[in-house]
Amino acid sequence: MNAPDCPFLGLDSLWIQVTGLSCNLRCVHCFNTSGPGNREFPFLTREEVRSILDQAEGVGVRDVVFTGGEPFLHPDMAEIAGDTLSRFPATILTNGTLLAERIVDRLADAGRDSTYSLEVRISLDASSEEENDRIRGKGSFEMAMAGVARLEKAGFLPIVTSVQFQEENSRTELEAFESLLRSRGIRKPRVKFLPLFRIGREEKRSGGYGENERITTEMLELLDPEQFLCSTVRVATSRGVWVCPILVNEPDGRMGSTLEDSFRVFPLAYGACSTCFRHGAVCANAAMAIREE
Amino acid sequence: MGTEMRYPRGHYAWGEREVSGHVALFGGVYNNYLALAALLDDAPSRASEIYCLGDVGAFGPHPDRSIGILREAGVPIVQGNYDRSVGMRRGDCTCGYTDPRDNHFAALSYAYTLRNTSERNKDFLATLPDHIRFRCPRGKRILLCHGSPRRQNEFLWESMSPDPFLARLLGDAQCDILAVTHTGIPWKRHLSDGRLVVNVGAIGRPANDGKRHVWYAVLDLSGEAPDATFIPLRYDHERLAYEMRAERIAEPFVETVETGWWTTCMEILPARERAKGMY
Repeated sequence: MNAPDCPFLGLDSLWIQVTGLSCNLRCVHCFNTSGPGNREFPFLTREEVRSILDQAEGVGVRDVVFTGGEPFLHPDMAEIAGDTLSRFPATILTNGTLLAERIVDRLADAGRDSTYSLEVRISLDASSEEENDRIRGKGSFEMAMAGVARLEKAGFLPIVTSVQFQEENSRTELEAFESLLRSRGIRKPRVKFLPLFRIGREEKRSGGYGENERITTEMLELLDPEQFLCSTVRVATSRGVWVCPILVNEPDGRMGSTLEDSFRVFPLAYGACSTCFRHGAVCANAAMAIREE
Repeated sequence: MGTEMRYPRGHYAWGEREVSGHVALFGGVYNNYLALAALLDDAPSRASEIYCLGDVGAFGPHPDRSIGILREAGVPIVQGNYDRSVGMRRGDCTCGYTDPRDNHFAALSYAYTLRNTSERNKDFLATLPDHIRFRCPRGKRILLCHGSPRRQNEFLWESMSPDPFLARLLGDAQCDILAVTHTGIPWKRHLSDGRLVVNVGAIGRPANDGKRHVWYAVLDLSGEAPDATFIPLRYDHERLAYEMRAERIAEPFVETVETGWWTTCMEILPARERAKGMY
């Protein structure tokens, strides 16, 4: 069966995989198998990121998202954020464990004079230390919470993101996160749930997607194509431009060496595409306003 | 189905009408008929034409009053996502919240507006145009829409709208001046080539700044370079709060009218805008 194509509607969010898949944690569910010693993608230099930003300016990108791996493994992450914020809104996706006061202060300096928002998203996969550390590694809970507290102190409004292992995210879970954050002095708790992608390390853990979990032409007709991240997003890496942040380990996800090479349709041929279909383009900071009956 | 809210490229019919001088623009009435009446008193002294950029309904009281005032005054209205939903008798306002509490409050106010809008007014909202275009004497092309030129419910926040992105939107929509609302917080941006983007704010609720007044914009097309001025608008907010309570409208909405701080549906706010508010 041929997978239907997702149209490309224009590049709104440019993701930059600034540290490849290199990470100081090794979470059990990581969809792109990031971890210590993963050298699949070399780091991008500050200069390389600048040249990607030049391309982004030329095509009218709306915002830039830094991901990895762990972006703060990059020695110049704060300066790269500063380079970006003079031109675009930016988001940094981090595990929060490397946010020493010195780094947070440099980050605050980088964003101070910008018109644009700097969002810092910290991953925490449960509101209890025990459960989080089972998923993300021993000590990760307290280290991330210390990062959240330092960001708050420096005037940021960090967004805590949590992968939902159960199908429905409950109001109770949201309130548990908020009360945790309030108890640590966070005045405006922001929490965002993300769906579980059954690929990467998670595929080995839970068995991945079944053959029937694929997008069909009929399913695509039910939706606004913007429901799929790949209609408005691309990922710049040190090895070229990929279609979406989820499929960076798929060789066929590579769409070319420049941004404009990647401006074309993409076949929704992967099990992970069915998660995007069910949950929408949820990787964005605020879910885009899309759903209609 | 789902694609209805995305406007096809280049579907804009060119308004040949020429408008000069000063044009008053407002949006986000949210049933606040008292602010609307105040606007219609205030704006004629500042502008020769008045346009509404949509979302007549929401959490304020007595939706038919605002629609009645607008129809009687003959104000041209661009359709907002709320107007479209009410006009089509949809189940929700298509604001797209994901937080269950935001959805709870959004659903309460939407159900109130849907229930209290007459069938005749629903039909009227369904027929509103999704954009209005005109020209000014120097040939500049002006586009009025609700959220963005490409989507009725896209939020254009100041801190999330870099210049190259705005230039792309204006280029795709073939306009030199773009005016939108939908977010509820006013801002403007002059692009380096002289093009202009204005978010006119909302007259239905304060701009999350701790003040009780609301905002609209006056576009000045008289000079060489077009510009916009934001006008603070006072109205009887105590009476609005009283009437909202009498209609049993959820208390967090009344609190916003009384304090000037947003209390619910905060998840849509980017960091910079969120930092300025109380919650």
